[in-house]
Amino acid sequence: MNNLTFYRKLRRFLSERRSSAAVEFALTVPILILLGLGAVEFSAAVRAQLDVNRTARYVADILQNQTSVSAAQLTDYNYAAQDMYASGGANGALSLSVASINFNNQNANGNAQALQVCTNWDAAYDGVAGTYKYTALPAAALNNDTSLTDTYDNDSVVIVEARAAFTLPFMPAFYGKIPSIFTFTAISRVRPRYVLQIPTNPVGGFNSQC
Amino acid sequence: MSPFGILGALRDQARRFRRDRRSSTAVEFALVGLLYFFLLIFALEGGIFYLRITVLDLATEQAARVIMINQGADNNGNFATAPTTPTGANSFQALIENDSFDVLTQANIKVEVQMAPPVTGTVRAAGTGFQSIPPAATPDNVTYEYKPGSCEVDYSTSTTPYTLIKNHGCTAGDCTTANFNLLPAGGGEVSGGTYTASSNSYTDATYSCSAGQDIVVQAQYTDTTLSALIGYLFGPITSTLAFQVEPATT
Repeated sequence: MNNLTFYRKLRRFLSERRSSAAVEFALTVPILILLGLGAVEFSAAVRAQLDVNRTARYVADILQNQTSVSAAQLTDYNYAAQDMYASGGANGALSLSVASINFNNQNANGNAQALQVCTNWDAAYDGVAGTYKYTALPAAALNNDTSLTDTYDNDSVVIVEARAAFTLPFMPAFYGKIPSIFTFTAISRVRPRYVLQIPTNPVGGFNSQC
Repeated sequence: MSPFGILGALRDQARRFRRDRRSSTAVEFALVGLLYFFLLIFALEGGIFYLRITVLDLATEQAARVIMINQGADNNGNFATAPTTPTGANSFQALIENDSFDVLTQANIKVEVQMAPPVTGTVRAAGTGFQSIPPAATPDNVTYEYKPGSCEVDYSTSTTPYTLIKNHGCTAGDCTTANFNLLPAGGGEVSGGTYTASSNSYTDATYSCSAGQDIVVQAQYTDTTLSALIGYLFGPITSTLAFQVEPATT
């Protein structure tokens, strides 16, 4: 094919007016498909976020009804959390962090002091067969939370944090480099219902610090 | 007219039809319209599908709350409401349907309510608690019955409704007998108790229902409307709750 023929064909192609609607349709179809898939992805992501929220809430509800907890119990509640999160169809592993903190306005001699926040115990699970880690909740979740400052001496709050890395179902295949993994986090704070603060049954492995 | 004449006339007709520009819009709409309406209905049904997801989650929580707060018994441990047939107004499915703002249909709801083996003390052995009751892949069908005060849910393999719920020997709502569809630690479902029709008596199995008992409730909804297409793509909707029975108020 010589150049003359090629340019002649190209000019004819560019000036062709037939089937222009089909060409325009072909141009817009990918955008339409992306919009449709995006709607599905958005809905799935919202549902995953709701599942994470509910999981944190229900684990907190179980914890606040305890008069004491053991390591075995916490492991058990982690199983419950995994079940609740996974059945909604969400993908990605659920991480669970639980902690009991208390507040001290008085020192050991009964004298007033600046409010001190102490961790009674904490534990974290990464997935179903998670092991204890001693950095369960970030310090910000414990100490810098202004919602927890309205407390009395020896008050206690149980904090449950559920995290899940959710992968959008279609994103990796169609969008390539665009981030398709979102981490949803939900924190539920509850007060113990039957005791001032929930002690651990000392099985070992709990972190206690002020 | 000779055969060649007929063919020629047909060829003329076909050529005229191809070259005719009138009503081309209608022809194009007929081609695109099908796809267009499919997309439109798919979008609407997709919205309904996600509405059902949200409502199922909400309704399951509301229904399971009855179990969670151990409600229903009066001060003498008697039950306020006589049980009805498993598919009747008191069934767990009906509770979910009632809480679903008419979005869900009772017949399409499957429910699995499971209770863990009892736990001794605060230190749990492997295979007790929630660990021993993984949610079922497919929840059982409509045979669970909500019975106020008796740890609230009864599993019946008979179409004859139990009428003996008051004879379970419960004290102040803290029922010591229940008939759950249980998953023991080894897996596999067993029924929790035995009902003897002749003596009108009920014998409980190993398990008991009391405050602190680990419960897993799982509800599953299968669509039978146009959303079934979307349901086919994403599977049935499932909602799982894990909680403990609270002490009964007396």
